[in-house]
Formats: sequence, C-alpha cells, structure tokens
Amino acid sequence: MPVDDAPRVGGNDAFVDKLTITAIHRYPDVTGDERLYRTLIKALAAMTGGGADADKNYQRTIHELGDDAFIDVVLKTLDALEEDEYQERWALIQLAIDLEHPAAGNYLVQFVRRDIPPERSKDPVHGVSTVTEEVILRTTAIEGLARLFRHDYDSSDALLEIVSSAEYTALRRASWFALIDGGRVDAIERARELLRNGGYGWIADLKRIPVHEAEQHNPELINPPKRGDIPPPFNE
Amino acid sequence: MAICNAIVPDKSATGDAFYGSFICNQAYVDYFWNTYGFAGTGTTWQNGFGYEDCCNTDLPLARAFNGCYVLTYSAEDYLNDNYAGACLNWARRYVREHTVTLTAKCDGDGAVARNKGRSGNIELYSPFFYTKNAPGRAETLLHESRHGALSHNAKFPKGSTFGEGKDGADSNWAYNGAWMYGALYLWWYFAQGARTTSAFRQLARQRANVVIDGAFAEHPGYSV
Repeated sequence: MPVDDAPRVGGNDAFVDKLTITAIHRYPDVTGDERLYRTLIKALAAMTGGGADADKNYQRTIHELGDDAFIDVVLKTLDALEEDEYQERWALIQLAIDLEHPAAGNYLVQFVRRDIPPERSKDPVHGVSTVTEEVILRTTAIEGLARLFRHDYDSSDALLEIVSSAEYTALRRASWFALIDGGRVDAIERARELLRNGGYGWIADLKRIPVHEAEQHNPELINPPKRGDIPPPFNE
Repeated sequence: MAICNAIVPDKSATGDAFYGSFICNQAYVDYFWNTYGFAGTGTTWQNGFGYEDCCNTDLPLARAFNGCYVLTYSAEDYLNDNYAGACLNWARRYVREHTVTLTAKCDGDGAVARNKGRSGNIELYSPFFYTKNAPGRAETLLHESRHGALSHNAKFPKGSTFGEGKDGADSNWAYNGAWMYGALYLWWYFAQGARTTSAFRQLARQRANVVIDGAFAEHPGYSV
C-alpha cells in the first residue's frame, strides 16, 4: 500500500502527537519480606500470562500458595492501591478469589458493601467509565463469595442487601446468581421477593446459558464496506 | 500537535509483561503492521508512541501489538476465521477487513478509541494503551471496527453503569451493533479462550455481563 502523505486541508494531521511516560507503576511491597513480595509478583504474572501452558502454570502457581500469610499479603497490597489502579486492583481481587481461602470472605463482603465512587470520566460511554470499572471489581468479588459458599462461608446477608438496594443492575444480577449458586433456599426465596417488590423481578428470570446457545451475529449484517472508493461529489 | 503524559500500570496486571516477550519478533510485527491498519500510519506512532522501540511494552505500539496478539491467537483453531463460526475465530478477520488505518493519538476527548466518521480510520488514544489490559484492547478493536457499519442507536437503560438515559447504547442484541460484537467476543473468550488463563477468562465474563446488563436498551434476557 503506498504511503498517503499528501498535505491535508487544515493541516491538523500533519502534526503528530507526542507522548511521555511519567511513571511506571509497580505493586507496592507491603510485606517487608522480599521473598514473599517476589512470590506475589510471580503469582500475578502467572495469572496474566499467555501461551499453550498459561493456565496450567497459573493453576500450579496458586496451588502452591494460599496459606494465611499469603492471603494477608494479597489483601494488604489491595488496600495499598489507589482508587484509579483498576487493573491492579482487579488482579489482586481475582487472585484472592482463586486462592479460595475463607479468610478472604470478610474482606470481600466489606468490599462489595462499599459505596461506588462517583463517575470520574468525562465521557463514560466512549471512554473508561470508572463506575463500570468499580462495578466489575464488585461483581468479581461477588463471584468470589459465590465460590466461598463451597467452603462454608455464607455471605447471604450481604448479597441480599445488594439484591435489595444496589443502584446498578449488574450488581443485583451478580448477587442473585451468587445466591443461586450458594443454594440456601430461604435466601433465594427472599431474594426473589426483594427483586419482585423492587420492580426487578425480571432479573430472576434471566438465563445463564452457554455461549453457543445465545443468538450469534447475523452474517448478513456484516456488510463489509468497500475500500478505496472515490469520495462522493461535493455537497452530497 | 498534542502532548500527553502517561502512567504505565503494573505490567504483571495487564498481561503486557508476558505478551511483550512474544511480540518482540519481526514476523509478528510485520503481520500486525500489515494486517490491522498500521501500514501508512508510522508517523503517528513516533514521538513517544513506540515506533522506534516496538518491543518496549511501556510504550503504546507494543501494547497495541499485544492486543493484536490476543485478537489473532485466542481461538484454539485460529486459522479458521469463517464468519459462520465462533466470534472468537472471526473477530480478527472482522477487524482486518474493516480497519483502514489504525493511528495513535494522545486524546480523543476522554474516549478510548474512535472510528472517525465510520470510515474505518480508527484512532487509538492514551486510555486504550494504559487503562485496558491486553484482552480488553482486542475487544476494543472489534467494537470500534463494528462502528464502521453501525453506530449506537439507543439510550442506556435504568441501572446501567454507563449512565442511565444517555445516548450510546444499542437498542437490542439483534441490532448486531458494536456492544453486541464486543460482548459476544468476551463471552466466547470466557468459554473457549485459548492460550490464556482462567483469570483473564473470568474477567472477560464479568465485563461481558456488565455490558449485557447495561449497554442494551432492551436486556437480551440472558447472562454469561
């Protein structure tokens, strides 16, 4: 493809932008223990790795962890992060969940009960909606609470609060399904009642289905645009 | 010319520590450059965006390549990009066929990326490189590419995290808009994503569900 370097009317595109890196974040070391800190970083790197053996490596890594001291480090590191470090916060929450340590339960319950900070983005539709990021962190934590039912950690009360009063649909939906997964019949019935009374009864009718059962894209609507067409006449 | 500053998140959280070690290979660089619309846009990737140091995952270009890597290789049978198959397979083809240019810029008024005038000329802004992890960048490329065919056509519903009542939603799942393409990609990534971890797949599930719950005026009625 020939390089299109013809001058542009207005000239704006002729002046490219300039970007400068001002800081490179690293997880803070809250341990004072170099070995423990290295273990944490190794676990996080395995979590976001790739390649044919990526998940096998990650599962092996977390299988070797999960003692009380390590889960404590994960949660303290999480508390040491700034609000806008969404990716780092997600990774630590997910790690705490994947360790499936009951000690994470109290932390996750407190976390999902926290108020969501107001939207910081000037364009939450086309930009990064900070409310969306915060909600994803909480739905991730709720998934962790769902898993902890298997370890006899019962968070039904907190989940019912969310079902009853959350501002965002995603939080009500995640809590509803966590209660379903928890299997406590009285809590499920209470949640169903709360949803119905609040005008959200439809959430209890949502279906969790495998992706191949969902409506897929319509190939007839792909309609690839043609490349290299001449521009239309002026004013048409 | 705009000048911008950027803060690099911890690369062990975003996948860039890992993918970065793979994309530092001329075969990948050539493939991504010539396939996904970088060709002819080189000047926009200079001045700190990474053109002169394309393996450096602190910089935007290598981070864009990491997203391209995920886009290209996340289906187990990645060579099959038939539109009749799973979104995970054809997403890379869709981006390839619907992206004319992929340029780097500092700021798009808070946007992550824009498909300018639905032309296929996609601009990537600083948040694309520094607030999205590698799979998130792949999903964004698909979402933006889809805007070449369809714009958003509805307002966000009650309870949406994107801003109830604001413009920018898709009317419904069957509209086959950018939100549907993005959610479908994430859903398949959760279900069948290859060469990745269960943790990243769980994140795809969470994001897909939040999109399903909040980006369609009419809820599709299902959940991941």
